[in-house]
Amino acid sequence: MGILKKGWDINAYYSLFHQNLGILKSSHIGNLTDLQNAIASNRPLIIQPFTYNIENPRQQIAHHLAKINIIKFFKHDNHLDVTYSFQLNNRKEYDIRRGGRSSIPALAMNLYSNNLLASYSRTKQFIKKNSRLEGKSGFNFLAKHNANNPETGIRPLIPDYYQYSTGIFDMEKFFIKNFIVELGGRYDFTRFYGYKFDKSNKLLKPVYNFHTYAFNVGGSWKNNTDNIQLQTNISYSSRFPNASELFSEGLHHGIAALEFGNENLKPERGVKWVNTITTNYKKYFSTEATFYISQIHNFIYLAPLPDPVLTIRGAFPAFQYYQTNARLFGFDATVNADPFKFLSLSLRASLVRGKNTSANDNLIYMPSDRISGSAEIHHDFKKIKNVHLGMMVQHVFKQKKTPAQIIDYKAAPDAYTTLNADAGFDYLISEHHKVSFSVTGENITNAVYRDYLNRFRYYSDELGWNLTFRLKYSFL
Amino acid sequence: MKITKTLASVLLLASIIFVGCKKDPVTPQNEEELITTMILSLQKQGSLSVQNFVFNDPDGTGGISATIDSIIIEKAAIYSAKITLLNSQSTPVDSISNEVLEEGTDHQFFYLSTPSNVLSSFTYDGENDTNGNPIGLDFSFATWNAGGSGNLKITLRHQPDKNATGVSSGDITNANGETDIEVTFPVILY
Repeated sequence: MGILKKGWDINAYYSLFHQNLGILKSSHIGNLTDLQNAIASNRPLIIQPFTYNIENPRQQIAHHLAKINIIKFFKHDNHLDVTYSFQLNNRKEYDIRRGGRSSIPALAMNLYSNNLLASYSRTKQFIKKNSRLEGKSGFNFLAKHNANNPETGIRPLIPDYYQYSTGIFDMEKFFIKNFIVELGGRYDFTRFYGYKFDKSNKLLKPVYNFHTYAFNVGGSWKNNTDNIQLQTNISYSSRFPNASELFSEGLHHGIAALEFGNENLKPERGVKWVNTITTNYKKYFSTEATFYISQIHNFIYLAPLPDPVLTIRGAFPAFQYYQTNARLFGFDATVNADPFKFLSLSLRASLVRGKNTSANDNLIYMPSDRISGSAEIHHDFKKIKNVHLGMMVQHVFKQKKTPAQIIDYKAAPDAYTTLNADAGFDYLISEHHKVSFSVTGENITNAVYRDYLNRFRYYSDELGWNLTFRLKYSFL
Repeated sequence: MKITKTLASVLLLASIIFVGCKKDPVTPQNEEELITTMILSLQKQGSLSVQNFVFNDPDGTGGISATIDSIIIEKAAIYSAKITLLNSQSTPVDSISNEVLEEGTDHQFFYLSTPSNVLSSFTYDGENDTNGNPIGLDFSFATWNAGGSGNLKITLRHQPDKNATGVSSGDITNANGETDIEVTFPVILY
């Protein structure tokens, strides 16, 4: 719904998303034995007679979003933009429970968020033709409330909390000839009230005050023919820990592991320097290389606890959030070549190194180095367009830079190579009708591998080959 | 100026509404289905005394580590066993075994000895469910003549397929369902 008056633009918006989603009963596991059985079986372990009813375990979600947006225009396209939005997320999870409790949700929570964002954007042209200044400043006000329904009879995954944040920001961009210079700053104050019942049902009320800042200085230059572009950017930013990093406590059924938050976490603060060089030669050749380095104070990370935790359902691997000083650096490069009209080639490489500088050790769960190459041939015929056939090979190296001081439940998996392929075409039936067909094959050599960053690697291999056929009919 | 004033008042109003609504949650969340304690009571055939062996995790998952007793019993004997499940977090202490019994068709215990000859001849005793299938809160077994040591794993499955092959005679292979309990007691025969 919108109103347009001279110089004003007013919009109101409301949406409701409602979903009642059944969960695969066989995937709802009680312990590691169940998980191993589920993985080893070649069909779902629990198959019940067909029904139209969605039965437990299931998940019921209602998400309301209401938004009002007001824009007031001034001279030279300068404008004031005010947006208020309200969101209510109501989530209930129903399990198969004992003692006739299956009709009571095992998890029931309401997450309310109120957000008010106001900003003023302005542009100033200077007499010298080639320069102008663009700026945007504003403030942000956020109030969030997570309310658990106590009727569940289960300790909530995320405790009740209230979160209030106020922020102010300003960004300036100065354009002169081939240069762009950028400056930005942001300050946020967040107050976080947690309400948590401890094991003896005593109400704990931790209160956190977080001041977070962000500053950004950047510049870019390109040559007159647009063949080379250089960008550099230095930023300082901070992030306060989220509710699950602070408070999570318990079993994640999805990954069969215990996860513990850390209530002593402080905000993460870091300086990051990013440099990018982009080049291109006519239509035939283009490259992009990015190098970044960042120094992070109080870097938040999840690491395995020394021993699995013994529970009545057996022992589970357990993980906890920790904090340290860290340094990361990384390099990404892409080379694209189109030597002929019908052929595209591409090479990519990516590398990240993470160091725990406080412990003088490597950081855990850093992505492995990887390289990939792809080739695609494509051609447009008269009626059959976008006929294409492509292949992609990716090689992921073994992560050898794992921490020496953390004992992982399983050593980092070996290097692996996967091959993907993709083919398809569009058939124009008439001017207004089109049929598209494609086949995508993933891991077509059926490589057996595990990925260092997937927590299922503790129990099982990644997916084998997977073929996807797509048929699409479109009205143009 | 007018806009600035409007904005300021909106902000003020918003903060009053948001902050004013804050109130403490009052109802503590009781873990009603939590099983904190499993007591395995063993009685040697022909003897009057009962020995209790306990798995105990009073604060539930996480927190203080669970404790588990070693089952130290006589070799070359027959024992009858009874399982009691408790939720020590609720007052009065809740007997979860009664819930298991009431919903007998949805529950079944399984026993596994490693090595398999340390404890053998597991037999379901006590009350069956309404379909005449075993529940397994009560059972009996024999201890190895030669003595030795090993482990006894006791598993409780929720909604197992009791009609699948072997399940009603105590074979867990085809039982499926969800594991509610999996406790492994060390066993020493003397």
